[in-house]
Amino acid sequence: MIASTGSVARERTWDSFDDNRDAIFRRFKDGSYSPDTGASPDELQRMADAYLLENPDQSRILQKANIFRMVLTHGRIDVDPEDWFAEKIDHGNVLRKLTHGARGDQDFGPGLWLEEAAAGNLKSGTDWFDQAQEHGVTTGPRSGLDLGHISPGWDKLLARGLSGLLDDIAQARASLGDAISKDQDAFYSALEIVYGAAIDFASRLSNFASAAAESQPEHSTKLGAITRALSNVPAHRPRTLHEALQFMWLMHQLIEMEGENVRSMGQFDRTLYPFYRADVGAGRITDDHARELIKFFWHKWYCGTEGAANGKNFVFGGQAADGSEITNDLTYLALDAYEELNTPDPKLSVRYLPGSPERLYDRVADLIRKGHNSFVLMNDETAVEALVKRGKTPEDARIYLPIGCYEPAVEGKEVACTMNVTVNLAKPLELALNDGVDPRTGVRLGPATGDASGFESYDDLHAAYITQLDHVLNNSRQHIAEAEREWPRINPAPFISGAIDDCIATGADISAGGARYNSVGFVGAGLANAADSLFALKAAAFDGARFTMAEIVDATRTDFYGREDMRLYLRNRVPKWGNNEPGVDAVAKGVADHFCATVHSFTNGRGGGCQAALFTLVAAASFGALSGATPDGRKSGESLAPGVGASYGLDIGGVTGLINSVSTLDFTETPNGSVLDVSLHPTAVAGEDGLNAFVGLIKTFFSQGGYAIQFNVLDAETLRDAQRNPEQYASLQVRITGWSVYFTTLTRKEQDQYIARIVHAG
Amino acid sequence: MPDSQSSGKTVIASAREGRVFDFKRFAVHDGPGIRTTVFLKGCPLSCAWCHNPEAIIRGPQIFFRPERCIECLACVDVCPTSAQTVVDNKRVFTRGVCDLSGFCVDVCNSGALELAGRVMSVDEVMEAVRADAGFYDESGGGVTLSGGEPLLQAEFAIALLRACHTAGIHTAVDTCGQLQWSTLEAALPFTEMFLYDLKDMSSENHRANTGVLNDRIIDNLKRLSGTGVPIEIRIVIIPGVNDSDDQIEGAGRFIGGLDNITGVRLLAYHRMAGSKYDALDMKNTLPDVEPPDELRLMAIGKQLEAQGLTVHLPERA
Ligand code: SF4
Repeated sequence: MIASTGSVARERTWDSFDDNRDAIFRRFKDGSYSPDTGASPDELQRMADAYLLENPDQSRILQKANIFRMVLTHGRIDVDPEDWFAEKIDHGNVLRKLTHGARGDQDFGPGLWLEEAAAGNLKSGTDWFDQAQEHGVTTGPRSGLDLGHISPGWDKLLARGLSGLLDDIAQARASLGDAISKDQDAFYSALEIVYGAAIDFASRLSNFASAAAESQPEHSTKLGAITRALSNVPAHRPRTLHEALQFMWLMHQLIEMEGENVRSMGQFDRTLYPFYRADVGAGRITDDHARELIKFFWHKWYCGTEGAANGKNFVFGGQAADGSEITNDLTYLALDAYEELNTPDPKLSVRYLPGSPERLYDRVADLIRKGHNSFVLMNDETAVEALVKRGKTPEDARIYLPIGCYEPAVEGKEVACTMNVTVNLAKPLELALNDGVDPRTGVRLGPATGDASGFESYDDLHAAYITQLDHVLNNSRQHIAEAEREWPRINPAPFISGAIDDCIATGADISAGGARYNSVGFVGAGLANAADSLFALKAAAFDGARFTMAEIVDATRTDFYGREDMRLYLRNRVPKWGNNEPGVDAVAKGVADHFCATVHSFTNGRGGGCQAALFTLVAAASFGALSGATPDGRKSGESLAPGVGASYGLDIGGVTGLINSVSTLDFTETPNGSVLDVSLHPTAVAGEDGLNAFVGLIKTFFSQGGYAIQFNVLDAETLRDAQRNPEQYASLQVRITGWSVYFTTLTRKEQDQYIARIVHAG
Repeated sequence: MPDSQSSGKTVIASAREGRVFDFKRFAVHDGPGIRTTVFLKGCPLSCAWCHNPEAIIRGPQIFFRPERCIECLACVDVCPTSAQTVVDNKRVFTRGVCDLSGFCVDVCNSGALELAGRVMSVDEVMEAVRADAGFYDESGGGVTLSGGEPLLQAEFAIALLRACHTAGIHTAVDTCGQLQWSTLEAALPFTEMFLYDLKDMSSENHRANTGVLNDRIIDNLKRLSGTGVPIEIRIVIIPGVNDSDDQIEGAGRFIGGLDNITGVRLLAYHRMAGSKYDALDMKNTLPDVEPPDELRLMAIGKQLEAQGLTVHLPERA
């Protein structure tokens, strides 16, 4: 079998990726399917509706599995003859409409089962989160239910195929015997249905490709490869690198169709290395071909997101479960492919530990300074320890994946809902200054902590802040736990559950807590604004008595109207987070420590733990828009500080001061991740000196206990020119706390904000 | 350049304290690795193209940037000499009567008024540079003294170098060379590298553009090159001033005859310091020429390389 694939593979004519990338993109987007191939999305929807009517009493996991099968069996399909990979099915989002509805970047509206819960058992929690969101207190998914930042166990899938999982299910059933519960039985049946359906679906695509090859002989090379690959995967172990990539891509699409968001595609250079080696060893592939293939593969991710939404994460380097360092030939080959690809998606992360090769530092730093800024660099020493502290075994912790952006989750063993809630750390201060009432709307959001003008000491103020913060955290915890208990009725996910330990062994879906590790993520955003504001009050109203509390509180309520002198004093004269200033750094650490410790004292609704993170993503802007003026001199509506770093324009102590401040935080207490955004001027990292310094900066951040770091290397002039001539800069990428986007797709306001930050970095 | 603002009491230079006007952190082209460059005030030269005009005189100066001013008049209230006043409902800064008390700077929250050159002790500077020790360690970096001419505040500069040396921090000195040899010699035991500015091989030209002949600079460089300490030569390329083929050839020939030269770093003249001259009310002496273009710089680099030198071109965006 393998020999025959080999001989066929040698006949391949490798037309170049660049010749095909636009056509593949267009076909991915236009989504026209031949009616001959099956039922339309409307027809699928009617079939699904009818199924639910006919089977009202069936458990939801079985309803979902059956509709999953219905879609894959009857939906229209397509194979792009210019592509190496097939996956297309016109599923019309039937399953997501049934369960939890559209993602942010889609427009098909809410999901039936989630809305049912939100109006029913989850009503009070949903109302609470809605109100918190409208006031910039928290942000997060509907009802506080993050349906998983998730990665299936790629190792297990690639090693055994879906038929291997079916064997496991049979064994698990057998060992339970008569002791099997109704829920377990339904779970196993659902898995059998969805895996059978996926295998049959691959055959449909394979047959389609085979027929297409006959009618379009000019495309027979790729169509032939797809035909062969899909007659083997996903049922069985892939035989070649191409089959492995096809397998992963198909799994990704089917898991997302089922309703989970796959947020990491695994440790690329570890998982795929054996396939690559075997191909090279057998003479099936050259490095040039492998690079081309990877470009075709990654292009699919770009087609899906176009750099505009949350991308998918591939991680390189770091360690295997036994602690050995992973970096190999495939690492560098893939990085070369990524450089040639030159798109913001997928997102690449690189893990480092003492002993990572110098070449890996140099290569990645060089890519970043050339403008490929879609990289997150992670510090394994800190990240692994943080996970071990929260109860993971060292072996499991070592194979963490940055999932989504930089939130770690153990591959194939953890359902780490890393984004259940993002908490605005600055808002509780606004509430503490206003006795628990939002000054903008007059709505009471927190407990009455007293008239702030009457606070006699900084301790009084701090205590009020903590009371307000704890109120937000406790409410979030309670309502998230309620939502998790409804999860099995909202979005059971049999297709991915079989690829997550120990769901098959225990007979429980991931929604029912079947995973080895079940986590809930609390993200703290705006640390700089919270710390700077507390410290400004401490310095100006208590220690220094420059202004009274009443004066400052009044000024913040009127957005410093007529008090620009005060605002500038608070902003420019009081030390700020991110400048290696011990006083304010200690306040920031105090806030972070309290936030993390409180979160870690919580258990979640699936029996697991809650995990703290410190970053912002886009919440810096959205929270800022809903927060009044703050005592750090920030005006009403202005963005909060990005990531875990300093407020815009206030890291005047330079990048080393920023890193020194940030490394006073204990990142072994942020198991749910963190990131520092750093902007560097191109001249600072140019030449050999610059590369050496750039690498030194990264290593220092790591050796001082940092967590993750990401860079933008851009000068303001280039960006201004891009504003004037957007078409000439269509490919210019910038990175903003976790997502890399095309600069020209940002709004003018966002562009200006971004430039202000860069000017400062220069 | 007349030293008009530096009265005796404002010029400070001792082994304990000196006048520092800036720190540049994450400095990457001022010697090996990641460095903190400490800028000391005062310079024996007054180069027309100087891009740190606040470095020239030894005493403190006040930057005033009216575009930042919010007219709060706090400066007027505290000014002891009425240098800050209100005339016709407008705030006016009259430098002629300013005694550099700095009180106005202390109350100016907008940043419109800033002090160039504050007195710092050796311990204070050391605390500031030690903060980045982790970066020096990871990158093979350290501290660079620059200016101005850092060795003009000789006792202070040498005390700083000694303190760094004792702390195990790599040291570099960026010098213009217009010094007594004994000063360079005194710095030598604590200096692991020199960055030596070479402006022009023609002594007459040199005087026309910097105020002094280059004899002592050339002589000191020759002596320094015999001591074994590594030296990087720095040449700011100013079109029409020092960039003719003959001038470059002459510089290359001279440098080629020296020992312990690690390389020649070319720096491109730029006019971006104009706003600083304005903020100091100093006459803008920047030559009215465009920065050298990239091709010319590369050609100069090639020419020097052909003379057997290692060349570092300016780092461009
Ligand atoms: S103190 Fe500063 S901001 Fe106020 S009037 Fe004087 S210069 Fe202007």
